[in-house]
Amino acid sequence: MNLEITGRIYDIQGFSVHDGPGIRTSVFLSGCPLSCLWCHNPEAIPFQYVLSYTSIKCIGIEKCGSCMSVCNFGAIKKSKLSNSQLLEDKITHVEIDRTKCTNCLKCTTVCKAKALIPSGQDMKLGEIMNKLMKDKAYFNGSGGGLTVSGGEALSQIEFTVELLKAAKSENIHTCLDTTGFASWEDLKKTLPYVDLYLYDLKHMDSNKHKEFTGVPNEKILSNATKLAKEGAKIQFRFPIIPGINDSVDNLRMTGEFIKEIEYAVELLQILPYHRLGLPKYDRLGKINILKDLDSPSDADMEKHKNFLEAYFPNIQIH
Amino acid sequence: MFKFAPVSPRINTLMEKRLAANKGRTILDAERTQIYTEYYKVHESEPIMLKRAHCLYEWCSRKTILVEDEDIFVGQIGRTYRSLNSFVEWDATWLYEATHDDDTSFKKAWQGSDSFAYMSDSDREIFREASEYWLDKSLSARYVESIPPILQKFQGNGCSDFFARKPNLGGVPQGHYCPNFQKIISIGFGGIKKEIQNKMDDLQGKIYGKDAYKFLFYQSADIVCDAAILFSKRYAEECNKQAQNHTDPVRKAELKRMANSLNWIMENPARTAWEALQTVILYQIMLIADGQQHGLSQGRIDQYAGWFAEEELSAGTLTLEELQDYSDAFYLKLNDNLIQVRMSSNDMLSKMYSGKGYSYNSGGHHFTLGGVKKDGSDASNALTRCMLNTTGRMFLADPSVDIRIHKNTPSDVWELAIESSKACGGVPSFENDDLIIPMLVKRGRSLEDARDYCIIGCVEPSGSGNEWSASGGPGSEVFFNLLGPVIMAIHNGKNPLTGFDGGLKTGYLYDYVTFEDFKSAFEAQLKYFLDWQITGGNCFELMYSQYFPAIVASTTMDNCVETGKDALQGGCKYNSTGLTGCGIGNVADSLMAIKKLCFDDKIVTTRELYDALIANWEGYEDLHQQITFDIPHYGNDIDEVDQLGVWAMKLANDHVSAATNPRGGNWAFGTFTMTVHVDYGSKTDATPDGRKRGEALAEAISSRQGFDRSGVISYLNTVTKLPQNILGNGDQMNLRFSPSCVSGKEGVEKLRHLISTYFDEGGMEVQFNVVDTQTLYKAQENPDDYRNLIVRIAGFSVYFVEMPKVLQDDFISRTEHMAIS
Ligand code: SF4
Ligand code: SF4
Repeated sequence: MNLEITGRIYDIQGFSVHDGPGIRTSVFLSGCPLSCLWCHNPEAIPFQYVLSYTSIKCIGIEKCGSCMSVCNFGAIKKSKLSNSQLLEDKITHVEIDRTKCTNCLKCTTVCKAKALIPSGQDMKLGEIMNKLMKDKAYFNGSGGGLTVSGGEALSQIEFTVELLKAAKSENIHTCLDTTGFASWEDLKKTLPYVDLYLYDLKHMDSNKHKEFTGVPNEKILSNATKLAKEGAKIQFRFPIIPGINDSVDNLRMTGEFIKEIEYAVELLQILPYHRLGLPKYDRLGKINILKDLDSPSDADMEKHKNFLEAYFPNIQIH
Repeated sequence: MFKFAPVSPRINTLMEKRLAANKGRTILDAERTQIYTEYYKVHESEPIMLKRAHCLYEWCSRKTILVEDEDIFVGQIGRTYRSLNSFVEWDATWLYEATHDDDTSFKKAWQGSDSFAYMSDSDREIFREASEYWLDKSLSARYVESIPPILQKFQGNGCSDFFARKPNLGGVPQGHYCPNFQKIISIGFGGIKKEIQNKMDDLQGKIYGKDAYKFLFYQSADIVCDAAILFSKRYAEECNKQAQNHTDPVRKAELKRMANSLNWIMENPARTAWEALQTVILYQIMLIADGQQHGLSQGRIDQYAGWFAEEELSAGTLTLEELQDYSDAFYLKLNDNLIQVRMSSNDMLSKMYSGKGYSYNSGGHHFTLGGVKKDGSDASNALTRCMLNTTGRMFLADPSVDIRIHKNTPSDVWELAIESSKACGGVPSFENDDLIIPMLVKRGRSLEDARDYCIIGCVEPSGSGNEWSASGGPGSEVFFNLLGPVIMAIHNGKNPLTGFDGGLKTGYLYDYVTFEDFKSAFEAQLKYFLDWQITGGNCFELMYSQYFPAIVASTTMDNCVETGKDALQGGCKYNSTGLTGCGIGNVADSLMAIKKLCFDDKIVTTRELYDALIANWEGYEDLHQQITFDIPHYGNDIDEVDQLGVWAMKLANDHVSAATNPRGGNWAFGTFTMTVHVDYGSKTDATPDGRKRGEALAEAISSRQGFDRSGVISYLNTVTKLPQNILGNGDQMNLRFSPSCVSGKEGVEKLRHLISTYFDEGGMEVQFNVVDTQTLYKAQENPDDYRNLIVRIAGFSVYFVEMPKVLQDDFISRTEHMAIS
């Protein structure tokens, strides 16, 4: 096992109760080949770290302004005068011009307030294992463990396999949270070390899939079928985005697809779209196209659940 | 989805009636003040112990007796339900001011449509007269002459505002123990009278040594027994009277049954669960009337009343539905009796109870459910479950409830407790038997007594009916600001906010050459001020014991009658005094900041850091932000800083636990803060952890608000590094979850595993709130729509909208532990 190998990590979360059974610690890896409109971890999409700016931490250019003088690309501008969390007086925050910013991250080295930071950091496998071992007591008994998530963890396949392998060698239960968008050769490498795949099904129509996520779905579906045949355990996750993938047709096709490989499926979770990621889009200067979309109602979720139950019995609204 | 069953129609009526009582207002009732004052006036020279017993007897024989048609249990402290008393013997200043106010202000304050408590014109006259008599005779008036002058010098030190708290003497009579309900249930005051008689017979004509004191004690205790028996019989009489002409045959029969029981109990052993519960209520009210009430805990009620219920259930003389009604009615009954805590318009502690200038609370009623029996087996029974049901479905701010957890706690008890906690803002909280019992044994309890522990006040483990725990301090809170010694070590023994200059001259921050130098200075200041706090506490206790012997409690407490000693003279089997440290998170972070900034990484000099503190960080914003975001913080499972917290806490604990109190017991150290962390924060200058002048301290064993950024497991990993298994006065861990985090059966399971793993890893107590920040903001904006939103603060629950804004904000700013899905 190579504890020195590094991964590009954008976050680690303890007591992650939504990513698999029991109490888990989730390791989120940077970089994702998809770009779903509804993504709630937009920071994890790029393969390179990007500049993340949290205005409430900024001291303001009156007292600081260090970042403006180091940027070689003129990407940092004065913003409006606004309230400060820190000071009585209003302060002038900065604003990042994303069209000019090259994400060179030079400004992050001078910002003492950590208002400007890279969207992730390189971590050694050893460091992550140390953290996992400290949390391990909380996994046992609750049936929890490690969830490797992203971004798309398979895009850092070497690191992901090492991480899963290391966890298994410590008897930690493992989940791999994946879009399934990877080569079968890569996915196959994870098979011996994954106890449960958390596998996204976003749209059954490949064209629509491409429209909303940037990639077609053939590889994703065939990978799922192969995993099932290889004896993997799968928990499907189906995010319900009103107007995008909640049509009767799409629900039916999703149901049919799962039914075909039901022997491998432990659970189907349907997840109502939520707006949690919105502040993050602001931080990254991105525009979330779905900004005004409301979450599906409880009644709608219940309806979808009933509908899907005709195909697969074990469904949970999450 | 789990749902608590609705209450029965009868309980519903009872509840509605209570809510509507006094138009929802609290009544400040003068009956007790009148009876006690009249007695004191006529018997000025009577020995104090006899006087206290006689006062109680007078009160029991003269007070208004109330029985209403819906009542399942009887007993009330005032002339009406939901009224509160005043304890003029402790303090009369606020009452004097209130009743001597001009008519318009008085009417506005006490009789306006939005006045919080109501005082009638006739009661105003009684209070006026009484307060004039007491103004120069109450304990607070005698404070200056009763306390050694040297203590006065310590006003404003900022480590312990014990000495600055003279006015609070008035409001908070002593308490913080669990009375011996078990004993009166099992032998009655009749049984105790026999014990006393035997002792007095032995002493007749043979008073040697200190026996004269004993004889006085027995005489007084005997009067208390008579008072108790009379008290109960007066209620019996009223029930009988009402039964005679009652038109409803069902209620008529019930009143007769009640009368029979009331004629029997108090004097004799209880025979049924109803009788046991009714006995508890009556004795509790007597104790409140005596003034021994703040933090008066009911202890293991499911044990001493629950086993009657088990017998009746199996004999078929009681149904589960009836037992559930008893449980509901019992909770409601406690809420009939309110207690004035403190009346002062600018005291944070007073505001936390009510959000208004004057305050009440019900005396810190506190139930401890579940756990193990004396033989170590699981103690849960039908009443445990009924009471958890009541807790979860009735949404009462009072009592506080704890569930004791051990290896074999049944899963349905777990589930009920977690669902209840989710439903009503963190009640019950969870206590770890497997840590607390061995700790109590180490602190000198027998294994059986340790297994029979209960929780007092907020989170303090104590004996049941056998320990004078004074866990909230001897008559006044003993909260200690652990960040105070940091200030002292930085400013050469001075408190820059108050000008107090009596600390040790250890030097200024810029004088220290190594980090170890600073640590030693902190250590010296910490011990110095802890010693002064202990000194103050012990002196206070002497004063209390002289003016207010705890005769009503001592009549029943284990060992008191045996030895002929009042509890305050050390009569109880076990004795301790509590002291509580606040702000451990800030101490760890401050030490860490100094270490890293000035010594390890040499980012600034000690002089620069000192200047930044003096400037309250103004002009040092970048340094401030660097500390906030770049320096490791306590609460994130980072050893380097966590271990500094461990070091400081061990220091404080070892020093305090070694100190003795006047009753021959030891002091006990704990870490919980109620809302004192806000109060102390407002009196604490800027600190190296980046805290600004006046900002709240970290509460209990928590990190600074919002600085636990690595998720709940890392947070728990930090606090289990603390030596929790030696914190004799208890500790407290608050967690807050968003509803989605803990929803459904799965959520309950996860919480259960989280709690039990935390306990396995060395946690003592945990309580959690399930409310999302959104809801809290909405409640701030539209308080009227969220009147019933209960949140848990430390050991008690409060209505969120009634908390002052600062506390609301503080509550909101605690990190929400929410994993993003
Ligand atoms: S360096 Fe950081 S704190 Fe300073 S102005 Fe730039 S963003 Fe704000
Ligand atoms: S990341 Fe580089 S280009 Fe972008 S704002 Fe910072 S310094 Fe300028």
